Amino acid sequence: MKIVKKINNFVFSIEKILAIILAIGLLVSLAAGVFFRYVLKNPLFWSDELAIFCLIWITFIGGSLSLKEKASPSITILTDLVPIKYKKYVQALSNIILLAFVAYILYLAIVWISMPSILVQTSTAMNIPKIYFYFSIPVSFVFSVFHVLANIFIDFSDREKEESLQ
Amino acid sequence: MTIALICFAVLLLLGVPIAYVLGMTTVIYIFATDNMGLLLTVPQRLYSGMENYGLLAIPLFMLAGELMNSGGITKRLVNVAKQFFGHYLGGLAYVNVIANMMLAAIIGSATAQIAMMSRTMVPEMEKSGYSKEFSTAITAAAGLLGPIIPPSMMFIIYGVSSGASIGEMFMAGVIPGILLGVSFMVIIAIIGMKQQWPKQERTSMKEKLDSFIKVIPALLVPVIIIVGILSGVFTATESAAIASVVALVVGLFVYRELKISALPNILSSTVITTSVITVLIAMANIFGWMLSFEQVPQQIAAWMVSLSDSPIVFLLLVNIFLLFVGMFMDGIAALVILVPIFMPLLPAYNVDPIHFGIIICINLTIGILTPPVGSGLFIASSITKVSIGSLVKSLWPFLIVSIIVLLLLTYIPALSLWIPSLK
Repeated sequence: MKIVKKINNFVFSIEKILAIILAIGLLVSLAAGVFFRYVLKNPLFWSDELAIFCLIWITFIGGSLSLKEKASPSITILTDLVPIKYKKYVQALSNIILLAFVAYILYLAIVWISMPSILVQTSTAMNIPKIYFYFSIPVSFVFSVFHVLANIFIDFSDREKEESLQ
Repeated sequence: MTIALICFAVLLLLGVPIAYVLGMTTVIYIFATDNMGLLLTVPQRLYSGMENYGLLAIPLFMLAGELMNSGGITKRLVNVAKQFFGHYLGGLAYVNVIANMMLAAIIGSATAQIAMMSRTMVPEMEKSGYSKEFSTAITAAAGLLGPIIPPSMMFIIYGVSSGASIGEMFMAGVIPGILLGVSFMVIIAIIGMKQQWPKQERTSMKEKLDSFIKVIPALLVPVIIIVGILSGVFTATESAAIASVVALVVGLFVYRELKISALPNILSSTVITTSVITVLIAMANIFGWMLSFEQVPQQIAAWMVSLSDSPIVFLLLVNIFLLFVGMFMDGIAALVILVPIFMPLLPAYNVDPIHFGIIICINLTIGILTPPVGSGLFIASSITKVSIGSLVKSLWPFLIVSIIVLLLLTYIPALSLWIPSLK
């Protein structure tokens, strides 16, 4: 169990560092864009595109982070009514479904970016390969699979501890 | 389609995060209808939903709010409101609403605002002799102003998913926000008179002026947004970028309460709160594509029009439906799911998309305070330790007045549309 938590936290800290860099990137590119357009009257051609690049990575990396933190909203009206004893099974079921989904999307994303047509696409302003944008999905979903898997283990062992304490 | 709908309901009730339920339902639909060729478009559509300039405003306004909060803005806003309005009967209750109105002009999320103000305002009101229940209720209600007075996460999301101008949505929210704030103050006056709420001591002119000067840097943010957008100089996204920079500079160099060492945590929590919204939007993009593939909006439109062709009845039904949805579902999730369904209905009833945006956003915002499920209720009650039941008991006058304001806004479009028309 310790090792699961350790790996989970290690992935989490990598994501956090990425998140911080991306957030800085987004702020700096847009702020620079405004400054060059209105103050220097010499618009930057890359600022919006770089900001969108950061936003896309923020979305998917952050999505994985929020799975770890369980920050994504869900409907709890029915699961709250389930007796404590059975709660862990309902929770495990919903997590296993989630795991199947993120793993499947990961698979689809890998197939998608391996298509030959993807390799020739480049971005309009910065002229960099689009695949750097697209990588956000498979990379983040690898992390997501990790977190959901870890959540299933951790939830189950924590609940058992709670039960044995009672 | 039936299989997909059943899975949708079951997955939601199992407590799977709503964003992922949207994606799962679409994948199940593709399998059930044997359109395997479409599977590869799923990751592609997840991606393309994010390539949107308007969405950039979300992380930036989130960041501006977090920076302002860590930079000590809440305290100063409360202080200036106290200097000017504290000495009336029930003074701190007005201070609460007014500070919330100013805070709403800087940040754009109701739950963030409820969390900040519950920590500062409720203990202070309790110390001065207000009941904890009422203090919490006022704070939670005034938090509703967050996404109505611009900037607003709800308006950005509505703009992105409906194609309406985010700038115009911001402008349209000004009068509704003030109207709602003033109505809350009327309720406070009535209850405060009855229960003889305490007042604060009157302060000197010098103290008033001093506190006002201290909030000027913070109030630059709403000025930039409103002047920038009304004059057509800035887009909403650009004004968000400027707001973040101003928040950073004010926090670091003017108020000097923002620590560099706090920045990494501010940035990573901005990423998480942003992604909770943007992942929903990405997933809703593939879900909405499934709905339009099945022509669901068109079918609902045909059915609605056969029911009644009066816009008055249509808007009433929409409001009742949304209030019901808001009782059980997170407002932003409901917004991204429902906007693509409602949009094709608007031309049939001749409803302006901006006006409709105000209705749907305010309605779903009220939902964060309606039991049994309301994130605003949960946050306020967990911070102030008032039970949800007694919070709701003190809250209902505010909820009723919010619904009355909602109906006013629904049937008097000019309240929303007048300011955007000045542009």
